[in-house]
Amino acid sequence: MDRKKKHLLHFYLLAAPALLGLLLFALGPIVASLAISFTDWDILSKPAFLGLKNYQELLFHDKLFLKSLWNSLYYTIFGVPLGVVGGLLIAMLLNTKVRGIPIYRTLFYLPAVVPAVASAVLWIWVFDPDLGILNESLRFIGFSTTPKWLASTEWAMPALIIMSLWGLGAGMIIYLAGLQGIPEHLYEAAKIDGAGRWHLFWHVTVPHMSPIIFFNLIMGIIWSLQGGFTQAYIMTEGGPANSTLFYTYYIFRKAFEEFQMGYSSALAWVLFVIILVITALVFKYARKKVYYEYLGGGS
Amino acid sequence: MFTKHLKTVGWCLVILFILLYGPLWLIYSNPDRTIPPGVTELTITTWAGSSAEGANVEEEIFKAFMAENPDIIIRNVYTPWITYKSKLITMFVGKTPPDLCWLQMESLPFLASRGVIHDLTDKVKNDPELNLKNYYPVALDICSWQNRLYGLPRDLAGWFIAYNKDLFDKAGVAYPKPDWTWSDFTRIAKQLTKDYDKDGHTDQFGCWWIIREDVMLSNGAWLLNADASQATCDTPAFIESVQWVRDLTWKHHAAPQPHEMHSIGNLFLNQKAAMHYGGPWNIASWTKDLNFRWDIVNTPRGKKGNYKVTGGLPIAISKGTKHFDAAYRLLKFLCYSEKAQRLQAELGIAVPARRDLARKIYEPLPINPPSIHLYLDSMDKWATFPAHGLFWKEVDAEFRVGWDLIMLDKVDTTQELRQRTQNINNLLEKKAALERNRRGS
Repeated sequence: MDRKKKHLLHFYLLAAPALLGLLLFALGPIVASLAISFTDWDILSKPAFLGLKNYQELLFHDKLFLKSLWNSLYYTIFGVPLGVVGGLLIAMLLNTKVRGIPIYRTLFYLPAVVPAVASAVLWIWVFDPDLGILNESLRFIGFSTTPKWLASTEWAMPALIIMSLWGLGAGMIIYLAGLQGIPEHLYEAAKIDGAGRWHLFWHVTVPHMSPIIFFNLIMGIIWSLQGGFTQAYIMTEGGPANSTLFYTYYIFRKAFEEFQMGYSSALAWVLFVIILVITALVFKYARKKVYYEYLGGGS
Repeated sequence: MFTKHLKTVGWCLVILFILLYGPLWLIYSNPDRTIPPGVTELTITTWAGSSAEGANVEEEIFKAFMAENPDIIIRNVYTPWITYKSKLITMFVGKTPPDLCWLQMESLPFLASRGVIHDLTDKVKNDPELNLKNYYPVALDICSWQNRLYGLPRDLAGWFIAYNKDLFDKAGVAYPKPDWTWSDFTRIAKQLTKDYDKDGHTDQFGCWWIIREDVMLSNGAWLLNADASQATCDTPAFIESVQWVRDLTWKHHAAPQPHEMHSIGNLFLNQKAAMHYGGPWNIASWTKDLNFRWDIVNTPRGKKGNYKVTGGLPIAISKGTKHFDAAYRLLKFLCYSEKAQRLQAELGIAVPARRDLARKIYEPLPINPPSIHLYLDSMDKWATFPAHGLFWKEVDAEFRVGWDLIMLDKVDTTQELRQRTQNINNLLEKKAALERNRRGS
């Protein structure tokens, strides 16, 4: 056996556990779910082939499909920009040379490692309309009427978006790494040219951070469209009146409460296509604004 | 060279395997689980263990059975309540069904219709050791689907209303009478709703929360008709029942509004609500923890009488069991024998499903409040959900949207219930068509 073949064999041997895992536990179920999406299957009966009926039903007749899709889009439209901008701003604050900065960095990152269920339970208390710390604070600064948060059809979703900002630390740590990679001499040169703080930020920081912002934007969109499950499951059960029925929670409900595996698989595949299209569009339009140093400008 | 590398890779995989599975094997392999010849192992799925006491009692009951039946050993497959249904169904699908299973009430029609649990009707009727008349009628209802018996009931639990005698006395309000009505409830709840400091915020509510199903049932209303084929939530009795709950909450503000329900703590326990829906599962902890005088009264009478929603525990035998006779012996022990009924009754979380044993064992328990006998008297009139049907989850989810909007005081009750009726009927129509397709008819 020649050297090249040996290398190839080694490669496959070492990659085998991961590849097997991928085939058995990811690719297999993915393909199976596509096949299941064309059936009516309650797990205990034999699947009955329905053709495209599940897709027709959800696209043209299912009001909850539209409702849950809108809820997930709403969560994404407001949550992602807030997360991207908020994460960058906090990273910039934590990139300053202030005493005790490692402690601040730890504190801001800490919520990102708190389990989602624990955070959800914590935020139930925060959003309590009567005794929660949020409304107490609003009343303290003079608001006579305060939102009813999770008990209100209008405020439940904003409440969950506010809660999503609790996890800014995860994005912040990536921004921080990016900020520390911007060469100091660029700032010095810009200062010599008379640039103020805003110009330094807009013309030096943002272009250099744009690949990271772009990464966080794409990942944020994907995660948000797939997100909200824990909050809906633990905090609201999709209510009140389906105002927090996230798309993924709807898939779960169809699959594991109503045992409509075919329909829930169809829902999952539609979400996949939606995410694919949105991600492609963002790639097409936002990528032009991204500065890649090795390419010397927007690619 | 290559052989040398191959060996290294091979050894690495072996070590990895041992490191991964070794600890698991050590933890889960139990030499005691070797089944001796002539002995049958039965598996039973339960969600027991929500409390340490509950788990211990289950073990005690199983031990008592094994002592009487040395040819059988029991393996309890415990799963938390929240994932129980998924786990059980996965076991059926994976062809590793338990021999016996506890059932959540709404699961029974689904499992029965899919033919994975035994129809016990004939077996039970022909069993000379078993007299079904000893059970409360509702206990058999919760084990039935389409007039066939798919399990035996172990225990029952329905709602009562607990009231704080100290708060009643302080307000000079007479205690509720056993035959009280929903109008009496409104009047008393209003009398006990107080804004002591006159700041516009209620300091004490008449009642902590309301079980809407009890109001509906006692007024002769329900979401679905008898065979669960049509929605009936636009009937005058249904609308009236829902409007009553809404008025109690918004017009009289004698029960907390939805946003007030999110408040920290239970207002009844904190003496900020005079009445509270409760059940046998509350009694032991309340007797231990409450530092005020309290008693219970049956839920009020409606136009149709004193009906209430009843929960209970049906236990079924899986069709996949290879040990039907042994499983049936265990089922009878759990659901009919005095020994098992006594052990679980003494835990105080539910009433035995057998009428005679409920009186003999449960009533004299020292933890019970003074009026427990009235609660047991009413059990013969208890009703289970009149019709769950196969699509209960979907129906309930659709109804709950309307309920949320009504209870948020956002929509007109009648119009909303008419809309929900239409939606549920459309849903049932689609589901029935799918079901026909499934059965190939």
